[in-house]
This record gives sequence, structure tokens and C-alpha cells, in this order.
Amino acid sequence: MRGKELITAMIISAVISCLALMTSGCSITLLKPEYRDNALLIAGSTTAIPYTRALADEFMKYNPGLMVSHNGGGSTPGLIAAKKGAIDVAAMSRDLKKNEDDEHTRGYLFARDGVAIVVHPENPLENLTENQVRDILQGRISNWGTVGGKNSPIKLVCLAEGSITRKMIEDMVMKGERFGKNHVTMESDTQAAGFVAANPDALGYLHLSELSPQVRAVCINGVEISKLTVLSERYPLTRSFYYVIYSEPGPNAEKFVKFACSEQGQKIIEKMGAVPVY
Amino acid sequence: MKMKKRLLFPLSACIAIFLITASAWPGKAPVSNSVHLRGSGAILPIAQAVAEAYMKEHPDRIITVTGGGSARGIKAVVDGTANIGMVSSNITGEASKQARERGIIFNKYTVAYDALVPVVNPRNPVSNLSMEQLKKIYSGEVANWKQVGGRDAPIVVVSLDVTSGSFEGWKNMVMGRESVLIPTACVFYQIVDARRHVAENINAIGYIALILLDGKIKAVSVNGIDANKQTLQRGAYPLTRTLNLYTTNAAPENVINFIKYFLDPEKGQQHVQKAGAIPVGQFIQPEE
Repeated sequence: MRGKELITAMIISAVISCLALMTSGCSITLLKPEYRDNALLIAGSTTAIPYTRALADEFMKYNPGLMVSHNGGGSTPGLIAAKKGAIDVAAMSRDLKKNEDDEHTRGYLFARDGVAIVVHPENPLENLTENQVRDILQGRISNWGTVGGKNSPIKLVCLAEGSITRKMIEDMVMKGERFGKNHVTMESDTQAAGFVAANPDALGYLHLSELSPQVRAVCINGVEISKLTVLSERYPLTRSFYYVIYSEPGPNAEKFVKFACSEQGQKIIEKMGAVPVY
Repeated sequence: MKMKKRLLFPLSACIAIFLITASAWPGKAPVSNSVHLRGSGAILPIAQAVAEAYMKEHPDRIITVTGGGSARGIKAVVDGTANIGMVSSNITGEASKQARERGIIFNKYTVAYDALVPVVNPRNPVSNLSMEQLKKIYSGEVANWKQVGGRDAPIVVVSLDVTSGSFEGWKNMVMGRESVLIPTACVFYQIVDARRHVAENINAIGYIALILLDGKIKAVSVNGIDANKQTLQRGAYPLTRTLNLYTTNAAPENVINFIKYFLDPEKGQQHVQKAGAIPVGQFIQPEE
């Protein structure tokens, strides 16, 4: 008698949960929803690629049979492709512009990060304006005396081409112009940090996640770099990353974005050195 | 027998709840320690200060703040990409309509009072304009500074995009709803860009939130009244407006908690004060 009632209970609960799950849109192996395709196409920002790759790898584990393909091309081409229906999700490393944000478009912030401008810990410099940062990186300011320091040349440290941090600085500060000719090139953020730590006249740029006590980050326009000032976007060299969905690209697109913004997705974002936004 | 039958349904329900929550992993709904604000460039500096202070006090919480203008703030609340829309005016009829169509009901929280201030280049000798003169300048009826006591020079009219809450406020309070902005006006999406244009152009006139005044532009009094804390609080300054946060009426608890913090006289309202706006408790409604 007891067994019979327990079985009835389980049957009733299974029915209730299946009904609830079907309406809530979660996917479980028992009730696999029909995929519109078995491919999800994501394209856009180059600097978002590492995040998308890591999220996609994990997402595919929970959606066997679904192929997530991700490409670069740039934020704007990615958005255009999404609006034309050529891809499912656009990855963007900037906010939508007002004329891009229409009633069919939804931009979901999934990460923020920032680039620090760093000097030797004994360098008394506390603050630079964005214009001064640009002038130093482009070689127009080459002496510490010009920005209130002592009369000695600035040792500019640059990251190698292909570096994500370098791409971010180029997007945010350089306005299409080149770095000053007089600089040393480092292969990684870690190496750049080491160089700045060992050279009292050095100035370099590092991803927020690579900051360590061996270097000092200067304030930009009076704002120090921190997780908080990046989340509030008050720090000027902050990058915001969005997944943008246009119209109805299908359930996979929505699920991927939801995953990116979920606790698990945001842990991946954090492990990659960005600031989680959920 | 009877007792066991009574237990049947609650037992089923418990198992059902367990199954539902267990299979909601992975990719479950975003955790509720985050609040996303979007919208008005005029409210932005205040919201950033309040967000950072809140996160310092609650290290496990995440608050993101993004600009884009009042209209985009409301759109983000409607399409679900933000929890709070920062709106420096009332929402437009268009936004209300879209919300109604989607079955969304807004809750509005006034978090500060500030003002719209007409501004000119520091080298412009004009220090006061009447409401009538401002209206005529923006419609193009008055096109030369000498007509309002200034130099013989054409007026460069600076305005904001239609999605800006500040433009909405200026249109309501100064231009008049039927009035049309002079077609040669320089229109900017971002308040800071409009501000820079006035700072760099000797014949320019613009309008800006009180809290965004800086030393590079000159505030002009309106009908002889300067915009400052005293004139705002007394209701004497004619271009006062509210700064508001909008949520849907289904906003979760953590969003409401942040808004409560924003409204707290000891917490969020201190940052309103520091920014140069008027905290909500300190505003005296002008007599009609």
C-alpha cells in the first residue's frame, strides 16, 4: 500500500515538473526541445573572442549535438550580420549606438574589463588625463617633465601585436594612430609588468587582471582603476562586452545569452580575468 | 489510510519542486546579487557614486551603471536588459505606449531634483536671458546675439538628441511642445559632447543639467534668477526638474533594496547632495 502511494506520488510529481519545465524553457535530456538548427553562430568583436570561446565550450557540453561557432570581424560587422539574420548572436565590445538600438534589438551586458596605465611604484605620478595617455602612447609626450615629473625620458612599454590588451588600448585610446616609435615590446602582460617593475622611468598598459603590487596604476581623469569603477564605468578605460540579439534568432541564441549571464557563465568570465556583471 | 492520502499531494509537490530546481542547472536564471542601471547622462554621475558606495558596503553585490540617455534607459527596462532606467524627465507617451503593449507597468522613484541651466561660452558677455528669449533663440526667431544684448554675431544653437531626457525637459519647459528646433542647431547624443561644443565655440548656447556645470562654460540666469541650491529648494528657479529611477512593478527585492539605499538620506542622498543636486527630502514644491 505504502509503495503504491509512493509510486503515485512520484508519477504526479514527475508530471508536474515536466509541465513546469516545458513552460519554463529549461532543457533536460528527457524533454529535449527541438532545435531550429543544430548550429549557433556568434560573431563580432575580436576582443570578445576568448570569452565567447570559453563560454561556448562549456555551453556545448550541456547541449550535445549543438555546434557553436564563433568568429571575429569586429563589433559593427557582427551587429550588421545579426540584423541581416546571417548570424544568431553578435558579440560587441562596445555599447549599441542610439540608432542601432531599435525595438527588435536587445543588448545584454555580459562582462566588463579595463586597462590600467602603470608606472614604477616609486614614480610619484598619480594621475593622467586621457589626452595625456594618448600623447604618451603616441610619442608626442616623451619626457616625465611634461607631465609633472622629473626631467627624464619616458620608457614606453608596448604589448606585441595580437595581444588582446593592446587591441583594447587601440580601440579605446589610439583613434587609429600608431604607437610612438620609441618603445620596447613585450610578449605578454606579465612580461610588461615585470619590465615596468624593474625600470623607474617605464610606463606601460596592462589588463586589469594582470595588475599586481609590483607596479602602480595611475588614475585616469582622476579615477582609479578598480572592480568597482569598472562596474560603474566611471573609470575611463573600461570596456563593456555585450551579446546582442536581433528579432527572433531562435531558442539557442536566447539560451546561450542566458547561460553567459548565469552564475556558471559569469564564473567563466571571472576566471578569464574580466569583471563579472551578474 | 486517510492520513497517508492527505500526505500524497504535499509529498508530490515537494518532489516536484526538488526536480524542478535540480534540473534548472546549468544555466539557471541570473543570480539576484546584481542590479543593472541604464539611461540618463544627467543622473549618471550620481548613480555611479551611489553604486560604488553600495558595493563597498555590500561586497557580494554587483551594480552596473551605463549611460545612453533617458529614452534608452526606459527601453532597456521594457526589453529586460536592465533593471532600472535612469530618466531625467517623465517618460514619453511613446515609451508608455510601448510598455502598455507589452503589459509592463512602471514604478517611478524620484531620487533627486536638479535643474536645466542655459549655458554660453565664458567669453560671451550675456549673463541673463528671459524664458521668452530662450524660446525664440531655440526656434530661430532670434538669430543674433545683439538682439539679446550681446555682440553682433550669429547664435550657434546647441541641443541634444530627441532621446535625451534633458532635451525632453527643455522642450517641455522652454521651447513649448509645438515649437520646432531651429534646423541649423548642433545636436549631440551625449551631454558631455554638447558641453564641450559650448566651451569651444564663442557664439554657442546650450542647456545642461545643473550637476554637469563645469568651469569651461558659463551659466546664464533665467528671468534674472540663478540656478543654485537655494533657488531650487525655494522653487524660485523656473527650470527645475526631477531625476527618476524607473523599474517594472515586478522588480525583484535586490533591485528595490538598491533603490531604498539611493533614497536613504544618510546614504544615497548624500551623494545626490555632493553632486550638487537637491535630495528628495529637501525640496519644497513651488506654489502653483
